[in-house]
Amino acid sequence: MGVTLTEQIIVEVDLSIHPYQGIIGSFQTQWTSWLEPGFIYYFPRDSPISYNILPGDIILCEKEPIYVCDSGKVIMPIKKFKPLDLIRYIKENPDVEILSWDYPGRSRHFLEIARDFFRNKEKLSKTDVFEKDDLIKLITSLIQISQFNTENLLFPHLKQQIYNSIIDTLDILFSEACLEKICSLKDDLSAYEILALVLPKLFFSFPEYVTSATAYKKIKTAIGKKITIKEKLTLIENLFVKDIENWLKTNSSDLVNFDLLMESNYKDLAKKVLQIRQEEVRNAPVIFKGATKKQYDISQLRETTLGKKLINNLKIPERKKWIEQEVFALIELAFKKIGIELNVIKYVRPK
Amino acid sequence: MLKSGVYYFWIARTYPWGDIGRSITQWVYVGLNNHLCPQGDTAFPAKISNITRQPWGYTCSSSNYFDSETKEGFEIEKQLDLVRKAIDEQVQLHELSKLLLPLEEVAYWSESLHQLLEKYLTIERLSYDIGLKKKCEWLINFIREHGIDLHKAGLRFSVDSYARGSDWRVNVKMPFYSLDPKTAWVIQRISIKPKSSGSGRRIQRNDVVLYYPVFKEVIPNIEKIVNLLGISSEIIERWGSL
Repeated sequence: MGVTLTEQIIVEVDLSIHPYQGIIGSFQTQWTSWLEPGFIYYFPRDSPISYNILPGDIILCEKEPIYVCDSGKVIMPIKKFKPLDLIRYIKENPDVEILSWDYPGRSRHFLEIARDFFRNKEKLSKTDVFEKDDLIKLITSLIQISQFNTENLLFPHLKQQIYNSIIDTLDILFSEACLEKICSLKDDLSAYEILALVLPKLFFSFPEYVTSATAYKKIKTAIGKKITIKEKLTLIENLFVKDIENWLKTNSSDLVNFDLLMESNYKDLAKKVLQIRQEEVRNAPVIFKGATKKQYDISQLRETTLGKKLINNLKIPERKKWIEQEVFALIELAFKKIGIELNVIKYVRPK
Repeated sequence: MLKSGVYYFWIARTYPWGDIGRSITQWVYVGLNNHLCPQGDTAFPAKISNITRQPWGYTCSSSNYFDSETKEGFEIEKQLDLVRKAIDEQVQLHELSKLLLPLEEVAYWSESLHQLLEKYLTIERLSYDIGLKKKCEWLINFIREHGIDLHKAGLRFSVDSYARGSDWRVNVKMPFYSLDPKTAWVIQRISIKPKSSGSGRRIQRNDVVLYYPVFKEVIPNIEKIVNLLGISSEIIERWGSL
């Protein structure tokens, strides 16, 4: 078992404003309104790895600085992390301090979120007494992880690998362990919380899903039943999946993480989502008018998830109801490629 | 109130690596007569920048001036020996800093110390130049890899028409919408700073010289800016060519 090495810290390297002694990586904090770093961590030239430290690298350093002044510290680097190496280190040292910066717009950085997740998960497997607060901490970690995206990251590669590694740990054993703790709780958890803990991959796949009151009642009954944890898990899983299917039919949400669904145990659900979305398109009539120079009304098509996506990608203005034949031909072709025949109806002038 | 006479000052931030090398930065001495003496200690630092017009654009702060009379009682020679030895061994900047702090505290300065530091700084400057070159190369690769185009991002560069002398700066007009994180990160690291008032940003003349290869990559009208700023010879000296 790993021991927390409080004398070490993990630093995510930034690009130095001023290269210090020829070394271009540093870590800057507390940016002023003048965009000057308020506090800088430098690496000294005496370490053999200092000159190879580049922006985006994650470095293990001695916590005790070798020099401190009002505006900065010089800290000794120990090693440059490779992804798996970093994950192993965070798992073994869940209390390690992390100085990271590459997560714009969020107060918590992904590396810290990952560290907290591993810490909370470790507690789940090691502790018999697991209170509601502990579960809430684990749920918070899971919610923060579910919001991970690489879109605005400057250096996403390593973080993506950590994210994937976290997803891999959310297996059946994790679900069973969580469910066991939920069953021993005196307090009720919300449907959202139960889903996050017991079926985290489903939870990550449908961020907008809201459980129906009927399904929630049935899930709570299942939790209280005197059957094995495995049986309970299957029961709850079926209830959630069925409820998600119903929810999909009444909500045209396009926020579905298909990559995760395809990798998970819910491949069939991924296919079902696509079927539901295709059916939506087939049921949305496209009305045309004109004989030689036809025009098409795409307003109903736009209300479907797939239609909306395609129309937006073609950059057709949102207010435009009728489109020309050439543009419609593109839409028709795109849908044909995924096996959807559009329901095109001739416009009939009201009498 | 300060008496007239000769005062020594540490000039912080003279060198581009900032405060980390604070205590080996140059000293400047200023001779004050009654006319230039301020009415109070706190008013003094502001006067300094008015009377000396240092080329490095330093603004004095109230914490870094010392009366030369406070030198007494300190074993300067012993400390100087330590400094000399450290410089011979070309110790790291932060290590030398530690040895110079006691001298800074008593406001000691001499020609021999000046020469010692010059020798040290010559080598340090070389190392800074290597780092700067590496930084520019790295940034150019990053810009190309991510297709960053400051012009397309809506940034417009021009030189202040009213600017003169050492205050010449490049004005940067910013788009109303916020920049994408990658572009924002790049401009932050090549010293494009917000203006003190109003919208837009500014680049110091010297920063255009320091980051010229990067600016050349991202500013379409860089040639015009270089001409207006009159910095072509400085660029050639640092980068070999325009």
